Amino acid sequence: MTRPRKIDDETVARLLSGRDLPSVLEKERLFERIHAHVAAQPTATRSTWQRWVWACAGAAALLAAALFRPIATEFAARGSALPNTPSFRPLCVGEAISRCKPGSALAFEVSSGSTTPYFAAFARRADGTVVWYFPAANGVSVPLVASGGSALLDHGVQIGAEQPPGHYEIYGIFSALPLSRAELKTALGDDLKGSAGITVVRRSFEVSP
Amino acid sequence: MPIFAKSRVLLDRFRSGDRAALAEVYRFYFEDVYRLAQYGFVTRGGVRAASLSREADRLDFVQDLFVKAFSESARCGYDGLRPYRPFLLQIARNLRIDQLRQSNREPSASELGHGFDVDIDALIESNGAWPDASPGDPDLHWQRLLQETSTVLGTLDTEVKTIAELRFSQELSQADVAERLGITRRRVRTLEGRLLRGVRKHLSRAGLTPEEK
Repeated sequence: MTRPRKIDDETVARLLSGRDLPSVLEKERLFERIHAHVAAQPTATRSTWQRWVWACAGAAALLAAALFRPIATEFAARGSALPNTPSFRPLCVGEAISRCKPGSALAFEVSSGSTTPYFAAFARRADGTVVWYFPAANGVSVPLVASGGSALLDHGVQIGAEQPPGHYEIYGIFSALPLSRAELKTALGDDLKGSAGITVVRRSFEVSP
Repeated sequence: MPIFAKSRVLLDRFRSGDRAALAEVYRFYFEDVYRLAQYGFVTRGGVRAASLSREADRLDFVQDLFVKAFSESARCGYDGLRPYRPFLLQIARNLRIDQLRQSNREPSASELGHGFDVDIDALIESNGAWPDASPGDPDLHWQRLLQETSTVLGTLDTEVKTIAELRFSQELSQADVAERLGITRRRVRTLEGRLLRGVRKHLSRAGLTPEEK
């Protein structure tokens, strides 16, 4: 089949690449258009992830406070200070803060101690099943920004099929050094209470249907 | 390797909307999105989105997708933990279906005979590779153009040949080519323009442009 075509720079660029697919020239031109659209959208001065999560978490906190004021909860309202020791709060984005539905996002407000600037977290079901949040399987615990107070971790977690509805304990592990999952398991020990050099903080958490 | 697994710094820059980071993500995933437009797909729910046959429509779709995926809400909606590709393809899948619905062309099983019947939901779940395109009918005109382009490339000096390789085969930016070769970006631009004009002129002389017929 013969299909004569107009020979312009874009066609020549495709010929030079040896593939009849969009060339670098077409891609670059398209990106300029895309970026023009994106740049025209409102921008944020604050870290956008944090801004978005704070906004969502703040709305959820207000809703939770209004609806469940009499109920004691360990998920204190946003703005209250975390103690000056390693601590964290899981914040469910878009839902009541202490309850997540499958598919929703979970954020972490973390306060690191001065000697434990690395953080890892996993959830544990009553039957002992563990769902790792971070580090990744081949990674190490994440570094925390020394903010002098609490800060929102720029890692989030999506509640997926591996976390069906039910009650969980979230373990936050603060360490002096970045640790892999294997190293964390060793450091935690069988009783999950930890050892010298790491601090373990537990939080209750609910995934609702 | 997923793009953000290589660099946490890139993820931070991406989330903040940094232009260079967006460009890097765009280049990395362009082909995936283009293929979704090129091949079409079926969903587990029985929705069928036919392939887009016109090149302009494919590129329009790619543009719409990246504008959506690079919006602040989408950038921040990505958790940074899972691979980015399934996240992006999910947005592309939903956008394509929305576009069909908005154009009053309810995607349905009646749109048969196009694309590869890629199960998009399975592909997103497995983060698997796209199927290879079947060769189809040989485009004799394209083959002839390729031959002539190869001929004219053989007559060019080494510097221009290197620019052709880096710029068009490896798809480096002009700035990266300049850095790689230790020359100015202006020189890369000049030589690139000369290369494109030279090939065009050669193809015209060979009677391969529609105007010559």
